[in-house]
Amino acid sequence: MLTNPTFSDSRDLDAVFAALADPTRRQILARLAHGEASVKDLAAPFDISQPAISKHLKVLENAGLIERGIDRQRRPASLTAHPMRNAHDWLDTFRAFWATSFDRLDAVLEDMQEESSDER
Amino acid sequence: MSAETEFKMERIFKAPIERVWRAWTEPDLMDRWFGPPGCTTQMQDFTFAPGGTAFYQMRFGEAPPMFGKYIYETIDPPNFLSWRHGFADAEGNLIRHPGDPNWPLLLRCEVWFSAHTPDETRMVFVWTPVEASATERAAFAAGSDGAHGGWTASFNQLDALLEAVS
Repeated sequence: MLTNPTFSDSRDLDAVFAALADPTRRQILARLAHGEASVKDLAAPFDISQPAISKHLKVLENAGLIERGIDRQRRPASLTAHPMRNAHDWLDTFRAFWATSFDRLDAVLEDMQEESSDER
Repeated sequence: MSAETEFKMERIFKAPIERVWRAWTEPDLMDRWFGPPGCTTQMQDFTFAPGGTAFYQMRFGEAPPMFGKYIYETIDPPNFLSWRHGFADAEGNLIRHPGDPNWPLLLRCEVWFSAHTPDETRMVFVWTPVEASATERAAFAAGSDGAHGGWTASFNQLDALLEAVS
């Protein structure tokens, strides 16, 4: 349905969309948009355990959405923008497909009015 | 409509709701607008009923044609229409993206129409991925939240995130 797709990272896109499908993970990303944070920092606003947060971070890390620091104690997480940019581009392509179609639909609806004076 | 579904477009068309409905549901009319400018769309097989399919060909100049398919789910004239939307081969079998075998998504489309004024129609169009690939299922399993497998990503938040990290 889409035209001329040239997404080199569509496999990754799969993981990105899966990772973004969870509200807790989106909140984690929103927190990380303000700067890196430790698991403990990230767990604080949620009513879930640090191991549960760690699992969410693993999903985000596998999707390439975050990076973990090498500090073995803290392993602070930080955001990486590139995969989300790909997801965003994909959405833009789909949206553009329909937006241009709807522009054409405007014209068709106008034509229909002229064609069918017997419509009412 | 769930507040969590965030692939969404809204638009006002300058036509009464009955005319907009016809443009979305009669194949000859759909051919005239579905697809970007410069493409030629042809509905080749069209069964407008729940479970029925609309199989179309789309041509861009001399390039090999692309095929797609609607599988209708709910039809409630003139207010609501939903279907699953995917790529197809020339015989109308659903396939992965022809240019990319890893393309993950079959999409569920839902469109609502309401009379904005007697001469204008408000459309709300929402789409959601419906078929998780093995990669996606694995990712969910890894997160131990498989029970939450529904598509709930908020892309308004995504927009905000992208701005934040730019």
